[in-house]
Amino acid sequence: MSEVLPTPSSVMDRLGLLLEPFRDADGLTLTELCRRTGFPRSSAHRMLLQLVRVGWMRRSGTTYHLGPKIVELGALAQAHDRIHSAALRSMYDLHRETGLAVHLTVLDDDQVVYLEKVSGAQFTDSTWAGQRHLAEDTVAGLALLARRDGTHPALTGSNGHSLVGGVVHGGECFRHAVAAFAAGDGEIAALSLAGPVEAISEDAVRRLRRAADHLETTLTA
Amino acid sequence: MALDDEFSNAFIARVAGLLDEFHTGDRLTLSELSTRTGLPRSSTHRLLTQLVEHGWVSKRGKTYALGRTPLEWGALARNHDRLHRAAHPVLHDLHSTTGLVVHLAVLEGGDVRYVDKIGRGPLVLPSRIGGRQPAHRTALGKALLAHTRLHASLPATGCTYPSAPRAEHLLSRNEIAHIRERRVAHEREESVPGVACVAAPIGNGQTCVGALSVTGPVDIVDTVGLATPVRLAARAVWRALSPSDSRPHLSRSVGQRTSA
Repeated sequence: MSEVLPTPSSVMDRLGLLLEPFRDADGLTLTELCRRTGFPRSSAHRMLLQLVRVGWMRRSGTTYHLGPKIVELGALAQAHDRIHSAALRSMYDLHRETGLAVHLTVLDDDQVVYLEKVSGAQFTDSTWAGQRHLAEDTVAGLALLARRDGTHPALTGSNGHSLVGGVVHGGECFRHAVAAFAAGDGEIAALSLAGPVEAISEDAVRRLRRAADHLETTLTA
Repeated sequence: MALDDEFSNAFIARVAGLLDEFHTGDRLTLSELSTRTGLPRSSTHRLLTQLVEHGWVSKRGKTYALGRTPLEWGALARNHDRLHRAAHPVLHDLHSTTGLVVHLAVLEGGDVRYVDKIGRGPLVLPSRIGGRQPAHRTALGKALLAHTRLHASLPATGCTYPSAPRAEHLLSRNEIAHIRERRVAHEREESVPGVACVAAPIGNGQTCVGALSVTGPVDIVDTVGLATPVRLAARAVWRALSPSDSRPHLSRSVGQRTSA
């Protein structure tokens, strides 16, 4: 059999590669998955069969989707997550008090991962939990990098980004106020408020900073 | 290295089985995981090392729990669900205004399956995202059963599961008529002592795609006063789901510094 892939060597790596295309696609056919992963058709098919059997994938017609078991594991993992569990209550409070969208992010090397989003119908945006971006490309990411490195060259105020009293402000039509904090175990996390410029009041920013400080105290205790 | 050899049939089943052991929500030790899965200690350890490396499992001291990777993929999978995506902001608003725990669920056979749960109350609730409960004992299930009766008796629509019991077997005719007329269902201490719920179906009378509810301590939940906000929320979700509604997001580039 000539189906040989030099890398990745481990099965877990391959599982990760097979899931990756589902980051920005609701459903994919076997052909699309093979094109995106470079896996031979028969191998990809075999992996999918197994994943469908354990509920990690769901098949409808010829299209594969992430399955119900992944949703269930994800919810259990949320309940286990130190940062997520500690922050959730503050996020609901901030959303209720300000009406703005509230995000919880963590820094993972040079990427920002969205752990949770709390937002109502009034101000919502195109971020959601589970997303990953290059930290440099997002306001939250810049705040996380600045917290890690002490500063960040992009936060000069010249391109609309500024760091005032431990809160990074930025974003074009949608403004963000981001308060990063040390989350223990060497992790850095951030709470963000997002909404139209005029909607983010000084009072809201103060509440945000207070919530982030409180989380830092709790998580690094 | 041939892929087929290494991606053996047992592997994924073993990984899935191991991760399933965390369903209780407890942190587990190597010995506990080895005992529960029936795998030798050395294989369990090898598997755990790989899972920790890829973030599927996290290790603190001597105990293991689910890690950040399933959190990430679970959230993405939920966002792929149209019902969840449409309901998300509405559920948060309902939680904000009522202060109660908010659930979103669908009917699967005779069970409700929780699609989302927002807020934490003073009471411990048996519901969890992805989990199930017998439908007829919850307000959500009653709202769903009462409004999916037509589908259940017409399997040709393809909208129901073959095992779906007819609503009449689980709810009295009176109860069904009452729920259908008011488009709201109640539950007081039927599934959990001290807990009350108010639920409304998401649909238009012909189709029911799910239901949402508010849940709280029985002495706080005002079943009469909450009927209207719960019904309005259900209607808002249904509107957000209907294709005529194509409200754009406020900004495509939110969360991103550049709109690239």
